[in-house]
Amino acid sequence: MSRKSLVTRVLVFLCLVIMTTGTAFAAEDWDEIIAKAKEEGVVVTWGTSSRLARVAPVMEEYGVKIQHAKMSDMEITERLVREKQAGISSVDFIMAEDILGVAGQLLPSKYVESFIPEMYVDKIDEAYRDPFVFLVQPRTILYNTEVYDECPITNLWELTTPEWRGKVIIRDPEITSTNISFFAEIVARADEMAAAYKEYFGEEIKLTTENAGWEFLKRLAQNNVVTVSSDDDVAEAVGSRGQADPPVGFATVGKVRLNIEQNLVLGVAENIVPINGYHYPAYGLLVTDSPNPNAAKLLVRVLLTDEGMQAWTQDWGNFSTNPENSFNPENPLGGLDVWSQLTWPLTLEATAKYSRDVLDFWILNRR
Amino acid sequence: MQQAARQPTRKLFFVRMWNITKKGFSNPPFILSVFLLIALLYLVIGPLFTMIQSAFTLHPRDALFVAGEAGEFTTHYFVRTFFSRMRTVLFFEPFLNTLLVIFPMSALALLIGGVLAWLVVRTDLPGRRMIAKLAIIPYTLPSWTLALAWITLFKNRRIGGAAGILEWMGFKLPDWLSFGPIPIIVVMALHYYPFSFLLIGGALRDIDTRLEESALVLGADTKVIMRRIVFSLVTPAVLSSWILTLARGLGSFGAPNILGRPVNFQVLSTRLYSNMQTGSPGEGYLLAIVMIIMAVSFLYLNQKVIGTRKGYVTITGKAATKSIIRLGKYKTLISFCVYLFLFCVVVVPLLVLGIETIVMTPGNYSLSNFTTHFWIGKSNPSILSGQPGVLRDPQMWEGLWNTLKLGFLASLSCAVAGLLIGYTVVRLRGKWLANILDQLSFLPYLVPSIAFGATYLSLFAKPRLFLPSLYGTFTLLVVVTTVKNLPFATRAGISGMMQLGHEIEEAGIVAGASWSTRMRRLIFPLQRSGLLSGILLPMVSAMRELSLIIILITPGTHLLTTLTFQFTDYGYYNISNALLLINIVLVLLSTALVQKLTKNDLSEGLGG
Repeated sequence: MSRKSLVTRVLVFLCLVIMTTGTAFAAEDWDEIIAKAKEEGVVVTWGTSSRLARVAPVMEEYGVKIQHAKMSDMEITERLVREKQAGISSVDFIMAEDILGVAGQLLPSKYVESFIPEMYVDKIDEAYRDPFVFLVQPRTILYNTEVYDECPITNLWELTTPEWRGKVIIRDPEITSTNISFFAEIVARADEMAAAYKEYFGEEIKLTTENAGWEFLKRLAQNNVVTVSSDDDVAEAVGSRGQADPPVGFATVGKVRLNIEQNLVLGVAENIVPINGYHYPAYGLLVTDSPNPNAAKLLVRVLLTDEGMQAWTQDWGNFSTNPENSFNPENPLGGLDVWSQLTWPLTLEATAKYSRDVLDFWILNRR
Repeated sequence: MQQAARQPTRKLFFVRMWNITKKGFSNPPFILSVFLLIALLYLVIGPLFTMIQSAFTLHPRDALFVAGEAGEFTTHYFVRTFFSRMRTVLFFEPFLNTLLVIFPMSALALLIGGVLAWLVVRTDLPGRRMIAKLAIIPYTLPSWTLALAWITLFKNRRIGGAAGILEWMGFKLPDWLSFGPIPIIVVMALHYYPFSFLLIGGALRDIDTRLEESALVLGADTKVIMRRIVFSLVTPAVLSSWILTLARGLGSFGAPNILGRPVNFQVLSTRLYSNMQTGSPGEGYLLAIVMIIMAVSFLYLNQKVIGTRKGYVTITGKAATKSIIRLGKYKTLISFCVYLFLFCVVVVPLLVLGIETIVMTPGNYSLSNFTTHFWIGKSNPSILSGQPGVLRDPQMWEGLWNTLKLGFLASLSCAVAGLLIGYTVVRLRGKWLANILDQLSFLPYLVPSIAFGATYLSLFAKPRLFLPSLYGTFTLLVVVTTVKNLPFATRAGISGMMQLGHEIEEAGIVAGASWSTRMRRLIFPLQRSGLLSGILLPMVSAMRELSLIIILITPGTHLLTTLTFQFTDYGYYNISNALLLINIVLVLLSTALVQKLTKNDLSEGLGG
């Protein structure tokens, strides 16, 4: 062929290449995703909270139904692993709290993946991007405001004293991986725990275990802590009216809404040494090879909008990781910026290192 | 010369083998039996095998902490469960707790059942027939009915949450009464006593009266007759019912879960379940193995005691005069006690469950707090996170429909399997193949339900050979229910076939009918009525089944029983009780249907 026609062909070829790669790097086509989601018609979700089902009205504007099942965090991991090993996929999106399960099993095996719609990527704090966290919730000490004017606990070590024997209620660590992660943080931050001990008891701690963190867990476990299966149970035990000697409990801040729903009298602790509690992430992850992937992507996008998060943010103790979303102004003590100072974040390092031993240690010392 | 003599012998051997095989394959029962053998080996022995294998394979979650690759052979779980510092928590405590519960429980059940049986069969207590019918009801209801009723009545504030009815009324309830071993023992005894009642009652009724008559002729008075003849003849039944109750109690899950977990009182079945649900299947499977060994030991003991393999009750009527004890002046008192007891055990729990379903704010049982919301209320976000009333909840209807579907499909497959196995076993009677089939089909009876469910999880977790994984499917539930009820279906099939003589089939052969035509037009129709009880039993049992399937269900395959369990776990007792009541209606209706269709009342003949 002539030289001119060869050049033309090469140029045309290059143009085609650039165009195709150009489209590969082009923006996500949300019109297409929404259209496909509507075709799929339903998104199947598993979560630790039943609130995900409340996002339904927003999703229905796009013509997508939510089919939601609530289960405990470890069950979500276990069931997803079972399904994937069995070669079936029935779920599209999981709202998970099992830090170790997600980072240690689900992500490495590529059973789930993080997806953030590009228009939101820059708004989300880096700490919440991988794996993608869409919701942050604090867990803290709650007390009964009918009997106590202010929180009767000022230092975590008080929970291990004879005065509070049998009067501390927490969600069963055996089924609540975030409580286990908190215990792991306590062990990791043993120095802070030792300092807190000194502040309360006025003397150095005498160790019968490796460090002050383990010591705290041991004494707490041996102090007849009552374990229940949900934060609702904690709230009811602490906040029911007409109690002469109510316990204190460790539950999500959001349970204070039960003051209205069930006529309880719950109050939130304000200043506890060394820390009020912890805040934990709710991951929003897409399941790979799922039946309704586009509906799932749409759900993620909806969860990043103010409207979508209303299911949580209209109540207390729930904060979106998209700082542009609102939170209930009546939130005790303030928003995420306040709570992230008052409570410890749960880190993967501590969880990965200590959680298995912490759980065993807890179970052993409860006998 | 010698070589020439040896070779024909060897050739002859092969020719003979070939002939036998050819003959075998032209014999339909033989082909059928081979097929059934393979199927049963896979469905009955297979799960045990895969479970043992899984107990020694490293789970991915543990690969993070334990040396080794996920999927490799490991003794980690074995060591951890039985020898590590966690051994008390993981094994010894649940094991000892299980013993602590089942021995007193079965003794109590024996006492209640035995006394009732004696009163009904051997005295002139008024209304005996009615009492016999009512006395059986607690066993037909789901096993945790009484546990839920107990909690509603006796719950105290210790574990948080609202108070139970009695505490609201002002009674101070000690912890040991609300939760833990004592309520579990009481509640389980009240559920299982009908077993002893039927077995001992049947034995009492079937005693050969000639023995008693001879004693009378020889001058013995009633008391001596009772003591030396009746009681000694009834002893095998007593021992047997004790052992069988032990075996049943061992696998029981519902009651210990509701009454034990809140105070961390674990038995083997609840520990097994929580291991499976929190990513520790290795430890879970080991507990299942322990439970199976225990159950097999109990049932082996039972065999020794009564000398037969049959572990279920067949009541045959036999009219005879017996020496009846006259209650005399104690009659009214005893009647009153019996009726009071039945009232407390049958009516009160249902009432109590019902009350909880109409209470708005938990713990407040005043009339002003009554509501129909949990039955017919619309979803309200501020009440129970938007959980709608039970009759409006699509999940409930789905669960109900699934329950009916499971019952129907399991019955159908049990019927077919029972018939085929029965046919094969009887036609090939005496051959080793028939014996193996007989034993294999009985094996599922020995395995506690919750352990059986666990084994099926391991069997169908992954695709194997050409068989797909059934995890998460409804089919899996049907398969496991069918196999678990196979013992009953095959007993019915075998006894039905034994009553059918060869002549009918031979007539068919003479008339030129092929094997399939004979099955279709002779055997099946003739077996229909005989198989009915074997068929319908799976249907009723599917409606009260929890422990068998609790490990296998997924959000898409809920049944009424598992939904009840789920809401109990959430602490939404108003919803769970409502679901249970609906379930009970279903069970009672189907039991009545079964009794009408088979014209076979379990308590028949016991009331005189």
